[in-house]
Amino acid sequence: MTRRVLTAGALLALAAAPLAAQHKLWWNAEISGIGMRLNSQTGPSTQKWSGAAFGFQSQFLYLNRITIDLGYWQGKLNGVQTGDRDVVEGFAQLGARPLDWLSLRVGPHAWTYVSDAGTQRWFLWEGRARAQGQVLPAVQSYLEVWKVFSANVNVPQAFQTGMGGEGGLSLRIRDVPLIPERLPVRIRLAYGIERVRMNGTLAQGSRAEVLDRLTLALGVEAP
Amino acid sequence: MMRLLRFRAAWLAAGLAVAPGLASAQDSTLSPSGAYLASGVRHYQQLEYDSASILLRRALAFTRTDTLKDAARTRALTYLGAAELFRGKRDSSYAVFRRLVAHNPRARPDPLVFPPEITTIYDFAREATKVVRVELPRDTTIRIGADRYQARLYASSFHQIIVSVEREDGFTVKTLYAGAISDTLQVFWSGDDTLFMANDSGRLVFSVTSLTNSGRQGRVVRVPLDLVMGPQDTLMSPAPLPDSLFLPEREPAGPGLKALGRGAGFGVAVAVLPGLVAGGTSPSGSRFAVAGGLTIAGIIGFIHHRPGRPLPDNISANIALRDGWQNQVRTTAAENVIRAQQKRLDVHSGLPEIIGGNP
Repeated sequence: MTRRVLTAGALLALAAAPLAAQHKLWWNAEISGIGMRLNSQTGPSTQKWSGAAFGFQSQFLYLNRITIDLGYWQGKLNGVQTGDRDVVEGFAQLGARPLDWLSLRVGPHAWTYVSDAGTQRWFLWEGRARAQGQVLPAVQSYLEVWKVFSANVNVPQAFQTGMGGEGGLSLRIRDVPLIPERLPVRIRLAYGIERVRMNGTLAQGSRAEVLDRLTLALGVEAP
Repeated sequence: MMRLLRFRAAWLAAGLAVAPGLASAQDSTLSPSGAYLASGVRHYQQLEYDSASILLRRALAFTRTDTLKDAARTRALTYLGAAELFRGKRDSSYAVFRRLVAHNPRARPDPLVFPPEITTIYDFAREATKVVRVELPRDTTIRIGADRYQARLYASSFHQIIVSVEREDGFTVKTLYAGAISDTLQVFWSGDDTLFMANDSGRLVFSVTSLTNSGRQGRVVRVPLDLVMGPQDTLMSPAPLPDSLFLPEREPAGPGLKALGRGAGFGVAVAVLPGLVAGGTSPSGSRFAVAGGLTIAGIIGFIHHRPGRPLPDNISANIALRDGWQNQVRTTAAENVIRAQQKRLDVHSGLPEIIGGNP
């Protein structure tokens, strides 16, 4: 049902696009560093990690209406009174942009924690909504919220709910060394947080994972 | 008495000879004169020159509504002249060809159809016939002082002519040309001579007089010109520019408030995001850096787009638009001043009247 609604929305968005406003293909690509803080609460006990991950993110915009978003990061989280974890994260999402200031997308978001205790895999299906706009000629801001529709995690507890949000601003700069003048460069600063809740038996206890992140990215985009 | 009987018998025989051809020429699409012409040409082609002559003369004899048109009359006269020559009536042929030249000075017997003896006698007739065909625009308008009325003359052969504009009583108002014409000639009239007209309307006559080789007046073609003089039409002044074409010269409230909302509004949202998404946890303080950045950007954006701020680009564009419109107004006004000083002359030419010189 959800997929049908999303498909219908994407088709509607494409149909509503004025032909004159449609670029054939627009894209951007950025490298980013993310400062992460992870709180994992299982029953009464809470474990904390913090660290950094590095990777890239890219978006393709087809005919000013259809979007494809891709991202990949990997890094290391240092535990507080617990073992360290390596983290690998990625997503691939397909979306539509029904209005110039609003885009919707859906797709998988997955990450893996690797530690001495084993490998924990998270695979989530998310739906995201993002509002964006220009604040100054060179500055844009955005606010994004998302909800997790389903999750597949190799932990004993079963998925209950999940949601998140992110906000940030980007600054377009010119005359950056090594980068062709025709490709605008953007610096982006964003803060995001998400929480996934899981239900378990009395013995297992319920589980809540909260991850907040501060992102600093540098990217280029199509003119 | 015997002679009269013989003459009647000859006509009867000719009539009997012609009747079958004419009957076969009866075509519902042709007028009677056209049918006679077609039949006459057919008889000519069958070398029946006597009957061809009779039929072609009948075709030419029709008057009023059934008169042959220009091209048909030219054809009829050409075949009649040729038929007369082949009947041995050289003088009659010569006379017919002079009629042909007078009717249409530009007509020539087709050398692929008619033998050289025909074209030769035609050339003699054309050389001896000094006529001019006048072509004038049926209805036209000229601006006095700016335009000229144009007449085109076609001569049958080289001769002297006098072209003039006259009053109806024959008084020459202006001589437009006096000299030789060989084939064609264009004559222009400025229309200045109409300024005397009472009530700004009247009639003049466009006259072309062909002179004989001895310098005497030969044939005169007179074409009446009905004239109406009036003021020149002026141009409409450009309509005032609609407000929709002008860009706003001062910043409206919308962009400033939008910038504030996108900056400070999103900043507040980021600050409260942990409470909404993950209440009860202790999020990092880094969110305040992002929220502060957004808020500051929003405030700067609001100041940048503050309501009432002058927009220099839009002001320049509006000035250019207004200047363009004022230039159009000035150009139109100047053109109208010129037009107010000019008179317009409507000229209607009537049917030509031909005097004298009939071949």
